[in-house]
Amino acid sequence: MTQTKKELVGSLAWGGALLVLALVATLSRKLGYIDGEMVTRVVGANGLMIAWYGNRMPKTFVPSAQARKARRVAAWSLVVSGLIYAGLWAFAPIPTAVWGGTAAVLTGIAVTLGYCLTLRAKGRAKGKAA
Amino acid sequence: MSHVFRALSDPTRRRVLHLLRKGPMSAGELADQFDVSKPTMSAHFAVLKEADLVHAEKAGKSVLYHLKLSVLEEALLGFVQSFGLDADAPEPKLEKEIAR
Repeated sequence: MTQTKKELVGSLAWGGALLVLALVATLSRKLGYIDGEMVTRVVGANGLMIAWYGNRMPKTFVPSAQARKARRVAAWSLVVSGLIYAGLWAFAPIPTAVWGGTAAVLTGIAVTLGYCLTLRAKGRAKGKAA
Repeated sequence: MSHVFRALSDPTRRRVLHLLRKGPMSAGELADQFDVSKPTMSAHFAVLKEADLVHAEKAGKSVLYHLKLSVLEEALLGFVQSFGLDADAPEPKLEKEIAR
């Protein structure tokens, strides 16, 4: 199986798993096995998906050294923020999970963006010096 | 995943990954760092490629190796190194020559 096919199958599997999880949680609530709060906590699975994508990110080869550095930072940010998101949705009170989880993901994005801008500034400074 | 564990179980291969953290290196440059024969190094590179931990790129006559670690694999490698499990790794040639 080619790399693109693998990525596609992985993404479809994640999409399917999230749908099935949401349907099972709704059905379980209707049958009285779990309460409404538990169904809401299914949102935490999104954090696991973010972490999974972040983990795989450096596996794709890119020729540019700068792009590889940026991908590495982005990958670590996504994995850490995704795990925090999932952890908060699993164990913290719902209001804390909403704010804390969102803050974790936004911080991860900000770290990546900040690092990319730093790399670009460094690249420009080198270009001017040369 | 068993390929990854197999690749990380050898100190020479872990040192190769450690060297590649600084940037891409050719097969010759990497082999020069170790006191082992070229066929042995080729076998190590093959195991790393099989585990999908490195990317090999042809650059003229030589082969250039790039690091290709997922976050989990990098964390595993860091975990092994932080516990000093690389103590049994073969000494790089340069360090040996300086010691003499």
